Amino acid sequence: MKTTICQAENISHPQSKKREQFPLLVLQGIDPSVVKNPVIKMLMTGDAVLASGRRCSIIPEDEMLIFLD
Amino acid sequence: MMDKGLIIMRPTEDCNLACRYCYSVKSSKVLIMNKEVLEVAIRKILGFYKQATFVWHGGESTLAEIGFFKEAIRFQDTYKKEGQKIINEIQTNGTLVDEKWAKFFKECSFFVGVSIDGPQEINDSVRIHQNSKGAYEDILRGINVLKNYGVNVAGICVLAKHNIDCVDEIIDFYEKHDMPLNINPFISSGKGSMFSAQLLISPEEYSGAMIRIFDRWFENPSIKIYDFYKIIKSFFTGSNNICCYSGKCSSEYISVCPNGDVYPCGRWAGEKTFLMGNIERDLLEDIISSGPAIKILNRGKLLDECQNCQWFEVCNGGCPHTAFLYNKGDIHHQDFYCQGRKNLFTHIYNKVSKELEKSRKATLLASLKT
Repeated sequence: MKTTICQAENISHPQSKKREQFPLLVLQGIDPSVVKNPVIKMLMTGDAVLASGRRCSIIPEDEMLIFLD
Repeated sequence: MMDKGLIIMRPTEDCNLACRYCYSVKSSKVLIMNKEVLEVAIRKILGFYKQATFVWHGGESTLAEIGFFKEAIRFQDTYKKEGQKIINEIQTNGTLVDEKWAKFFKECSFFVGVSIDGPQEINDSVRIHQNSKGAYEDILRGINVLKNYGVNVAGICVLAKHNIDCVDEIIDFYEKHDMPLNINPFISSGKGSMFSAQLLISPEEYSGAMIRIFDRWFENPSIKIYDFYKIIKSFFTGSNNICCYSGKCSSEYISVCPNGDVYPCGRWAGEKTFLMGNIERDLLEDIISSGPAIKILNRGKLLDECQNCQWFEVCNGGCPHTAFLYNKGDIHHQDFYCQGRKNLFTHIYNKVSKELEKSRKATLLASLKT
């Protein structure tokens, strides 16, 4: 199972949130099929084919893992 | 019940390696957490958090032997509530990992983080056995066993003087071994403070190296780099769940020592002024509302230096322990790496914004053609 940024945080209308700090980025207005950058693609669809040829999926557990030294 | 918690469990603070930058200290005389403490901790944690991530850390957590972890899983099964999500993650130096461990991790769906700083020459200058012999070969053997068993394994790399000028070699190494990567800057604490002069990097050196890694990764990602994914995500959501940036250590993030003492995270272990309570004696509700916990949770509101910073929401003043270390015990200061993080956030934000704009234009062009 994979998840996208929007699914993970339930932020279907993030631009409606008011803040004084940096403007939140939004994915609206972008068709995933024309996106060339693999990182943006991964953000939109939850996975991408990496340069190594392997698929890289964002999984729900990614949100909960931390890696301490 | 709180929604989610990440609990850094320290089954032991002992270690078979003698890495030069290790921050871990022995917080008590207890060498291995006993089963009573383990059971009480798991029972209370699963009674308190709806979703619990157990991060088994140390010392070297595998010194606690596999039977300890089998008991932990048994206790989790016993005290798990219906529908409750439990994630197990272990962090190890990999040197003691054999087929028996790999099989166990696979069967119990553990996520495994292994510390390795890149190619042998770099790694072995800091990650060493007690007899000063480099640990690279033993670490890599452990990683390969884990990968052979299909375990989810990721690498942890500490950025310090020994590798700050070798970021391309580090990425090449991780690409070659097809391993996700996490990068932490060196913290001058515990034994690491003895080698501070040789290992400490400046905030600018940190951001310089991270930006170089990011630029290479962003155009042509070949491995998953958790830090970048989480930082980018925070620019969409306005919050960050990397523990150092979350502002929630001492509530959503806590650490349990071998004797049951609870601290805001493993870095605080043994620092009695930030002892929040004991998992055997105290209720978790009381532990996370103790004086030290509240002091840390309120820190963000008290950081004058951060009030006008545009990145505050996604950093919350950074790691309170790092502020404590570099400001004579006063947590009401920025994280030591503050300027580095600002540089990094600004760079990533601008780069992602530009790419999004490019994609938006491409979408518009494509729609005009049809």
